[in-house]
Amino acid sequence: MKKLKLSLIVVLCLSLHYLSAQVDYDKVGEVTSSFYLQNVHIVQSPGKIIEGGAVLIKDGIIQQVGSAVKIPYDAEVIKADSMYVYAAFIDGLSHAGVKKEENNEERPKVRFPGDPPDEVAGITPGKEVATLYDAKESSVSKMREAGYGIAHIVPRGKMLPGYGSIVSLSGDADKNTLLKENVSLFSQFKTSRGVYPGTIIGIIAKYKDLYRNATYKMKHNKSYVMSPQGMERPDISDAEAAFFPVIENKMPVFIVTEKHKDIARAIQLKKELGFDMVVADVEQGYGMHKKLKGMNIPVLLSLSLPKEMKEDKKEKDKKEKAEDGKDKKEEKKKEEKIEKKTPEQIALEKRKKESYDQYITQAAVMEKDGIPFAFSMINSKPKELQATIRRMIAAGLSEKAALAALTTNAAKLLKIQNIAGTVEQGKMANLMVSDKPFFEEGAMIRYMFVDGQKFSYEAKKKKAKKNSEGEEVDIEGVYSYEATVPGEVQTGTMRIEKDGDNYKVIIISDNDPTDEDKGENVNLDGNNLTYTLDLEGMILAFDVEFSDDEFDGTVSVGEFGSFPLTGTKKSDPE
Amino acid sequence: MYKIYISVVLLFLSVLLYGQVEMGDILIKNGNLITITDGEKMETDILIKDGKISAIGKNLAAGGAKEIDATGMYVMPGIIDAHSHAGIDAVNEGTNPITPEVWVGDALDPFDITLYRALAGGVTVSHAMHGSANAIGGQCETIKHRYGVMDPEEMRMDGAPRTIKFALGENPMRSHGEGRNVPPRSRMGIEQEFRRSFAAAKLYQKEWAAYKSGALNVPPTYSERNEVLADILDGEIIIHCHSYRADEIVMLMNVLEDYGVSKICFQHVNEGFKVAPELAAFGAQASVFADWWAYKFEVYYSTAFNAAILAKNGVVTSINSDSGELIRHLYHEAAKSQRYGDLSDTETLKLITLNPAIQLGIDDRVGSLEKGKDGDLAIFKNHPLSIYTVPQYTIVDGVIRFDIENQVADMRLDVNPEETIPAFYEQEHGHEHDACMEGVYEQLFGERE
Amino acid sequence: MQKFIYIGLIIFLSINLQGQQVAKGTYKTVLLENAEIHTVTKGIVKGSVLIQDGLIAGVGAIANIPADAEKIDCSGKRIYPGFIDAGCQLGLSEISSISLTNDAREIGDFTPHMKALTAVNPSSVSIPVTRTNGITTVLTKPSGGKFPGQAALIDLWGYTPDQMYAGFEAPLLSFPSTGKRGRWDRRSDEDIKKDSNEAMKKLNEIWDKAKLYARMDSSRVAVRKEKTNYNPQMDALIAAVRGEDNLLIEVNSKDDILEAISWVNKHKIKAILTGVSDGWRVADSLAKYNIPVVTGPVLSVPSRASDRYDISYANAGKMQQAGVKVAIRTNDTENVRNLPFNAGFAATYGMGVDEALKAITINTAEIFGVGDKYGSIEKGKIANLFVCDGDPFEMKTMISHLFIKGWNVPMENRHTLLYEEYLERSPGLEK
Repeated sequence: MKKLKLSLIVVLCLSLHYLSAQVDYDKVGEVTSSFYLQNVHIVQSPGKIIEGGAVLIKDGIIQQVGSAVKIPYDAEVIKADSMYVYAAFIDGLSHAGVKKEENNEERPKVRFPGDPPDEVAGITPGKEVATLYDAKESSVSKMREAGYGIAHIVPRGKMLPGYGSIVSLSGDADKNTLLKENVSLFSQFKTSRGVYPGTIIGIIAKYKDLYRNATYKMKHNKSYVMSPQGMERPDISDAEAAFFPVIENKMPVFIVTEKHKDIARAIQLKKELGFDMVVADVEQGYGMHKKLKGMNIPVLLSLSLPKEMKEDKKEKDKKEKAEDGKDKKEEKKKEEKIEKKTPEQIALEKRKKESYDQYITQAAVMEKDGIPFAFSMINSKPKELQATIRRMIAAGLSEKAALAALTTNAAKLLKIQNIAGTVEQGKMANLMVSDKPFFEEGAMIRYMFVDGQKFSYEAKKKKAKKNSEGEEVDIEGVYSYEATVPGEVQTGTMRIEKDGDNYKVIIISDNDPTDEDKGENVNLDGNNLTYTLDLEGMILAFDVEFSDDEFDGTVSVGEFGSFPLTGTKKSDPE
Repeated sequence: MYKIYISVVLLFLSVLLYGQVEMGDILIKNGNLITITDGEKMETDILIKDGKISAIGKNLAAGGAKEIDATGMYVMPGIIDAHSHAGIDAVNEGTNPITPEVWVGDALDPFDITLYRALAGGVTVSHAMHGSANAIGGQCETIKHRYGVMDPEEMRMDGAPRTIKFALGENPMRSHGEGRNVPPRSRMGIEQEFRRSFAAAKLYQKEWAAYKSGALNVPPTYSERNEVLADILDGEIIIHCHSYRADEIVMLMNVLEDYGVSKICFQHVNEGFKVAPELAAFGAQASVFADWWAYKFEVYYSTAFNAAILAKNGVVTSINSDSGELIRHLYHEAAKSQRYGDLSDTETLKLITLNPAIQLGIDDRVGSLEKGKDGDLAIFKNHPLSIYTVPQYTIVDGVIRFDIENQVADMRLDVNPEETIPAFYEQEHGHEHDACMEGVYEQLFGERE
Repeated sequence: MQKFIYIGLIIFLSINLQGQQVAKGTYKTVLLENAEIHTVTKGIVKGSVLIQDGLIAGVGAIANIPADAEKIDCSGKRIYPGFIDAGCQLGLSEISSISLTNDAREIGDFTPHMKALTAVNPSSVSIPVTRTNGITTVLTKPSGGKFPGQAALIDLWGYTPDQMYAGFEAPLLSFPSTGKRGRWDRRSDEDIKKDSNEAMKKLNEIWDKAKLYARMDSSRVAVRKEKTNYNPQMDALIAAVRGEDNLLIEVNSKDDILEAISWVNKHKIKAILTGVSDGWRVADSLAKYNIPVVTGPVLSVPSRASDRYDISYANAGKMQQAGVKVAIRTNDTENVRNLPFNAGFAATYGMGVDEALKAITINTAEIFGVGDKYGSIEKGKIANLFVCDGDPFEMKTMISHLFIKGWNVPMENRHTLLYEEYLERSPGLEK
């Protein structure tokens, strides 16, 4: 059992008193580790469904699955009647649980930018994500809410941020959540501003240099270990040492390649150096996928799709309005008002649509060509998972392939298929329970079981007016907020007013209604608002997303992690 | 209109299925052939089979090849631009004055619209180069304008010799000396950059030779950088050196002589005319602008007669563009040497065909209309050296890559699915001088205002 | 500080060491005989051109030839009016990378009172380089800011700016733009729109103030009061505001051009639109409102990645065919000599040789209000012309004689002098 870093333990002891002998009378734990899901439809694996059965889990393992499962005396019966049980999703690559570093856009001060120290250049391939992972980070619970039970977590950084580990998203920091440590070398074509390498060509050259150096150093090291007498001691840098398992083909490189050209460059690099590779966050893979298949390179597709085109949206809105029984005449009138387009505009829109289609049918095309793939959440938003998958399905991806990508394919890619990926006896108790078939419109996750721990979610009210992605919301107004920090729920009022080009954020906590705190470093990007608050030296960083009359996000408190924050609009600006 | 568009797109998409470089068969009938090496052949056919010129003569049989009627038109070898930055996603690794290990060929961009516009100007091959921010820059890549391919690998001209970019003068001094307070800051400093790099490479070679022969029992530190420098010393890489002033040109030739390196082509070399005898004696070549000058102090004493003077003094000279604008009409740039220096038609056209081919080491493959060479052609209405010429077809490896009749306005290959209308770019005042310095400003100072 | 001294020294020395840059010109009565005269306005005439007292004294069959006329035989040659570049920075900037040699740009957004004429360097090395390609007159203009200053029409001959001045000066306006400034412009579409709206608002404020100023000035004149205030910026705009003189408006993208046209019509401005790279899209509107256009360089990259590859070559021709009066410019500093080639490309891609020729001669002169003196070979006009052995658009053509204001200008410049010195260098290789 790996011990967590001391500092983390000290912090976490504020909320959990487990390692020490003290008792926490605030915490109310589960009374049993055995759960019985009654009368559910079980999607054991893609294409294999058991209608009207039951699932019994205990001590984090799936004990029984089927139609004739007896209820043991010590099991909590979950009334999940007619709900659907799936294996909890497995993410191929993500940063969940790894805190975002402050936006440091300053260029590092280095005397010779052409020859910077490895850390400055973003070259820390041996940094272990296990030391950075914090199960209490709100990004972890967001993943869980989206249906994920396991994720392959990698550190944040630039070119070579470090080793990745496979983590169970149980949110319980004390438990050993590391399923497999140091399973991958994570890499990106990202440069550190102003120092070498500063461009894509610099990165690739540096890669080759590092790899080949490491190869020689490894050889040297082996000879030295065998018989050191008379031999110069090898001088191996941390970066070089980190490559050893990769050179021996014992550890694959996971490399983020969003676009077509990135994939081509990664393939060339792999060809030249010979390491095992997985391409991740692929957005524009069509055109390269045959090559990837031919070289047996596993693929993780991105969960970000281009913004919905206005026509598609119009169709959707029309459908919804028709369902709601709105006036159909109004819709017709609106259509006639659309301005006439020139032939050039029509041609440009046609090209845009073709490109758009290629992006959203990517998964469907891969399925058709028999290329198994999984997904990576690394640059996408977990709460958009369902909508995104549904768009992919509407574009031709089969539900079976979608589920496989989220479960069995991911398990195989990460080599954990013997313990996860399906709802079968003996596997980890990682389950997702949704009230309707997950890929259906309006389906909501009601329960998550991760490593045998239960998480339940209330049914969310269906919003009267859907706020589609990309539409900017007017954030001005007075809101009531609620922050769930350890030990209590903080409430208060938040006022947002326009201030020239920017916004003013004023927070009044219910604890002290006379004191107004002003937000600093306010920045609005689309519907995403970030700002900081200085509370007697402690900096709180807020990051919330606005939609219609609500906001939803996190507040980060230094080393303590980040906590959920929600708000509802009370009134428009005074 | 759309039918043409669809067929064009299908043509491009069909290339996807092959995955290998596409070779074509074409018979060009009854054109006025400008062979470069064998004079002009009026009303003659030229046949390309499987991407190579297979026959030149009258009344050739097509044998199933696609046919083009070139009656009244001029057929010349595809134009070669020896200095370009089109088709690559990074130009300057400007953080270190010595970066021979980087290679622009690692970052090819097959979607660059400049490649298509160059094709529309008859250019079939270009030398995609690293920029001039560093004394020793990165390796370059000779690419064929196979516009329409999706795989960057298919852009490479397989078998073309390796080349590398060096730079002298104000650019490296501005990037490193002025920009980061790192040597070189003077022309004296630039000389020492070369000397120390070559000296290090020589030592590196000795160490590795010792290790390989068993004299050393541990491998010396591997260095991608020194590997490339050693290859230069071994004569495996042609140096293309951005240079302007006469004195720095002579300096580099002296340094190269000290280290036994002889393969060099000077680029821009605006004051090359002042040392034409020295260049000729060394065997150095020159790739120049037609008429750019006075944008920096080191080109204040230039002359548009540069190409003519160099050519007449026995230096293999070419005219290049170093610009996404000029590359579209290199035939016009070359023709200026008829006003500035009175070069003959053949001498002038050599400046953009056979000579750049020699400078890139690919003159066995391209640069003239000869049997066995690559089927790279440019077909013009009106003589290419007339202001009234209009490119009609541009053919690469026997595949028509530009056809004035069958093309639409929007020839982009990679369209952003979130952008309705492509952005409108205001004209940058004057010209894009120092396309060679692309990216350096951002690396030094962050984004511009 | 040291840098400035160094630069100053170099330029001082270079000028002095060379003494004069080229040989002296001569001023005589000259008869150019047996030529094919391309008058531009009155067709092609075979015969002679008589130059006397700086003017064209006769064209074609000339009756009374003065006895002291120097006779130059132009058999087999052609004579053209001197070309006019409708917009450049010749004489205002010597070496663009050395900022202190650049006089085109003053600090500040609202500087319509800055006169380019003041800053013209008659000894600029680029001037002889330009005129030997047949360009005798250029409109040189300042840059930077919303109102960069006043452009000036100058002949490329003279020892002082006053000697070079060719009779036209007008303020410039850089119209609020919705385009991206360059590859490195990372502003979002919303930001660009916001910036341009701000700029438009400011422009309207300035124009309203200028109108008020003009009205007050009229009133002052009406009551015969002396001018007591000092407002050079507003003074510079009075004539344009009243619609009496031209305003040169730089505008390029389609939406901006349409916006500019409605702005110009609203305020009844005597506008000349410059740049106009999207002109072909709105040629009908331009023709409808009789707005003259200066466009170029023709040899430039299309403004959008989705534009036809040759649209910038064809732009001038398309506008002209729709009925717009078009003049061509290079917008260059040291390579204004490429003006004939810009016109040549426009001719090739749809404009036709005759119209392209007009676009760099008579159209330009008329647009700048000097059509009675410049732009064609007609009796009474200023003797700006050149003699060449073929079509001046063709690169092969050589110009043998050049006349500016009647002066016989030597056909040499830095480039030709270096050619002469270095074609066969001596000493050669030996020390």
